[in-house]
Amino acid sequence: MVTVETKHSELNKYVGKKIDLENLKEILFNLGFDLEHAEGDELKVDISAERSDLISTQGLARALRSYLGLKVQDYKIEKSGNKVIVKNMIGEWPYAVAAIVKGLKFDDEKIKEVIRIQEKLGATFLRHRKKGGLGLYPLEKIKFPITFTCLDPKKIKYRPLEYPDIITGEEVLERHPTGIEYRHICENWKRLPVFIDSSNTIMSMPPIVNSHDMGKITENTTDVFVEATGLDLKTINIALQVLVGALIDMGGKAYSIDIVYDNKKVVSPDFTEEKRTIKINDVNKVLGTDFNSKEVGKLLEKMGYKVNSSNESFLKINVPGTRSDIWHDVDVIDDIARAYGFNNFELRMKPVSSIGGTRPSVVIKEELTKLMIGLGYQEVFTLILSNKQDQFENMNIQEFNHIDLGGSAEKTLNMVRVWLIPELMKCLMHNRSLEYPQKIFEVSEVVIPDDSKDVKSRNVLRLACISCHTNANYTEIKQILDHLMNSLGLKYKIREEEHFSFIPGRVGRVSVDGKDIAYIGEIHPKVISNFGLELPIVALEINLTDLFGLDY
Amino acid sequence: MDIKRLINKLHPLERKIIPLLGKYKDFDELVKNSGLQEVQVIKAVSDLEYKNVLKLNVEEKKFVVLSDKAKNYKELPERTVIKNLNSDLISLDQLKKKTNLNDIEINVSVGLLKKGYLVEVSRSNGLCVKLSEKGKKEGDKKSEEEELFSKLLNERLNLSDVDKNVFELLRNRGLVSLQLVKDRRIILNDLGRELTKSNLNIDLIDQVTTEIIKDKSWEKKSFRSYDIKVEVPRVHSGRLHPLQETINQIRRIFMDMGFQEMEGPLVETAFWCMDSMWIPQNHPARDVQDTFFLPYEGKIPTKLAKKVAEMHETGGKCGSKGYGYKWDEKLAKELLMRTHTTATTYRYFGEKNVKAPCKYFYVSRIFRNEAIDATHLPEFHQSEGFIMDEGLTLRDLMGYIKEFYNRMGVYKIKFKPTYNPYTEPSMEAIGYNEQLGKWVELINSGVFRPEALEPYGINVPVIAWGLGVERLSMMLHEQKDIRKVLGVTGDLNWFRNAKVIKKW
Repeated sequence: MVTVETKHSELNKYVGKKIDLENLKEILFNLGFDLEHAEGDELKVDISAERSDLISTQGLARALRSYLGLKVQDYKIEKSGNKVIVKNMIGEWPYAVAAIVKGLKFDDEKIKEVIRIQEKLGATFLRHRKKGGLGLYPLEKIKFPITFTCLDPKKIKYRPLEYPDIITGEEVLERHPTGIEYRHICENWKRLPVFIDSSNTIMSMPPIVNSHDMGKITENTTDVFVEATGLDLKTINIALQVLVGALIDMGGKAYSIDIVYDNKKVVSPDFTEEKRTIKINDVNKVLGTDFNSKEVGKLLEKMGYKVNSSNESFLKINVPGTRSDIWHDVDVIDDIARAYGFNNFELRMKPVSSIGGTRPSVVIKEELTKLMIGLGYQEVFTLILSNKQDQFENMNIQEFNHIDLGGSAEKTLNMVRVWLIPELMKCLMHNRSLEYPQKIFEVSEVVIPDDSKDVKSRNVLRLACISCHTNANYTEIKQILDHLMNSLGLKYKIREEEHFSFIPGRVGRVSVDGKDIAYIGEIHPKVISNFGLELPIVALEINLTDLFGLDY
Repeated sequence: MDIKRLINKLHPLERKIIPLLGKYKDFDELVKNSGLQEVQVIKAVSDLEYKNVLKLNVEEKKFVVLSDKAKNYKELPERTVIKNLNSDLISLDQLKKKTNLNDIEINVSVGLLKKGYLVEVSRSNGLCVKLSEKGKKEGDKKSEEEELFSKLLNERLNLSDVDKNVFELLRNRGLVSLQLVKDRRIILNDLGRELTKSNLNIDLIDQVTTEIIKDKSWEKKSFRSYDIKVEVPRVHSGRLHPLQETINQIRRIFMDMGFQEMEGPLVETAFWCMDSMWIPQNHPARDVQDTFFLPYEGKIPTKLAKKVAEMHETGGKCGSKGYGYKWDEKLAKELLMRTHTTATTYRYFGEKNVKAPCKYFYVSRIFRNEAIDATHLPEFHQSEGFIMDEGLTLRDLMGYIKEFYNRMGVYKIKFKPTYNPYTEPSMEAIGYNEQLGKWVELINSGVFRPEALEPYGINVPVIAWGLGVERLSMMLHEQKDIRKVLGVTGDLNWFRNAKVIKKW
């Protein structure tokens, strides 16, 4: 989601028609966007991150004009004959596109608007400048041709935006706020990209920051040089189109720039529209409709496509150059559905014959849950992610093999749990103030490392239950085990075992058919204290995956 | 009520105190003489009040008592001061030594005496004081405050019997305070009076015992009648977790509609979780801050990975442009905690080779690298279902979602287009929740993209929808804090008392 901030009055102005708030809300909903916030004239519209063409008020207005059936003018670009020479670039940042826009009347509001579009594109469509960066410069200071090249960071010397001194490229990354914010992008670059004009003045150091002297737009600026640079030519061209388009809609006149590479020349901005042939049959097959080509054509135009020609089985169309989200005909078909209105479709439910059913693990969980509830135990749901402190240390045992989390936003989490009892202990800790007895259980997965699996681990279904009250003792928990095993028709054996989470001599390992499947016993007072508890606790944990030979 | 029936109903405790009621009207007296604990008497009296036998009048009384500080005095400090003065000037320090009073007491006392013109103060040679003419004559006369003080030395006084001003004066000096006392009096009515005179010593059966049943002694005796409207302590049964109730409901709906349940690993490769369904390798969802990437490398199916790579790079043969970047096998091998159950759907596409026509569903745990607050947890449950068959369309997806919703008890629904990387068209379904009186967004859905199907040789439409289970459950239970639902902070009290959601 990207939030576009705009003004209702501005939007109406660019649409050329008054759309009241209710109406706007409905249109946006039908298009799949949200009027997230409206207060007075201020609007906030949520659009999907793929629709970079809607990031500006002007772009949004064009989409609305199409939708309302109003004419949308093509952008006209004249030749300027000016050049940007690209040479000696690094592989990480090889491309540049540029344009000139003249006759702008910048006031404070407009400068803010342009910066907003530039920043929004950078943050969303260009993925925080990782895919590309945009720059604007007052035209009057620039002497063409411009060179786009790469230099040793120590040899780049200029005064970055709003900075008091001339510093080197290296220092920009160390000291300038924008440098610090974005330096991770060019972390391992040996040389850094720069724009230099023909008087050998550094204009900027993309994608980091412009020169204060060459690249600062003021209220007196009327003509601008606009550039986009980056890793992917298609992406930066779209970003440039969005920005130049908005500047044209603001009243500017745009001129192209020749981008001269060692082996080729490219004219930018490239507003060429992609041509596609859409089969009516495909449309109806996806949507379940019986649209004819005339109807489809109308719906396409509503979404900003141009229909060049059509017959009853297909349409030849142009996709707007700013659309970066059309990979396949289904993307165009999706737009047809939006134009038609999702809520106008007649619902249908084609019968699809299949037999319902579930998995053994789910049935086992269900059956054991029933038994536990019958025994008066309350089901709980703890997290699968846990931490070493609780899983091992607080349980008074040595750390053993487990899946580590690489890093976590929640500091208390650093591993995937390997057993359930510690989680149930924590659950009691958080519910200390409630009435006792507290008897809780969980049937859920733990994750055990397993190198034979493609995911280096496997889910293991466990049942754990604990009982906590003044008289909790081994007999009580053995009764639970007894009841479960009897109900399942299983014969089990218990042998003495050493396990430091439990009281010595009061802990057993349970086996069925020679397979060890459970621990049972009285929790050690030390462990009880570690979890801030004060009453006796008895516990049982059964490995259901091993007991029943489940495959996940 | 008929007195016989009433007697029959009396609890042993009531029986014990009724004979005393004629004698003791004061509740505290009654307790003292009953030989019972106060709680027992409270219960008996309030039960009797409920039976319209008596009325317990509770009056709050305010008494004036001496404060702890004042209890140490035999007389008020000003009296001690005046006793130690005569017509000669004496410095305050000397006075202090003579009276054993502290600075504050001396100052207050001298101030008070001066106000009453009983002493004269001189500052010529340090602060000195002596008795005034008036003081010599009237110094022995007790002030109103002193009168009250001496009374209070013997007993507490009803506030209404004390002069307001005098009380305030002493209270401001911290010498007296108010004591609130509940005065509880039992007032018998006619029935009650009759009851106290009645013979309560009938032999009634209380708890039925094996003996009574066996020896048939009940034939000759009566059973004590119980107050069947009595409030009883809450019992805590074993129960399903409210979330499991919701999960079961969802599972049941899916199975009723002919869906088969899936199962898959919690730890996944990025391949199955993302690449397999055409999520580009630079997609924001793959950022470290959203996903738990694990410090291990997994294995990916080589042949399939090749097809998937081609789909990312050039779009394969399904008519797609592809993303036009170089697909990196290393990124696909990264292990992570799965971020959605669609990872398992794709294992069914790619490993179990499910064939049309079929319907599958899954409800299970997924993970997002988020800090915990009232609306976010690093893990929660997702439910999803897909249908694979010839001829399925967007309209069918809408139809199935409506059916699914209807079975959840939501009848009014709207669709809103949205964007998902692996479905197109994609939409959200918004349902009108009657209970909350508003539209809520619950379901995300779509028609799988050709790029996300071709590697698995699936050439028929697949429609799918998914929803967050916690969100649904919390909506049904009007629970606002997800921490009380899932995790060790789960609120046991809520689990014990949660309402059963209407599903019929």
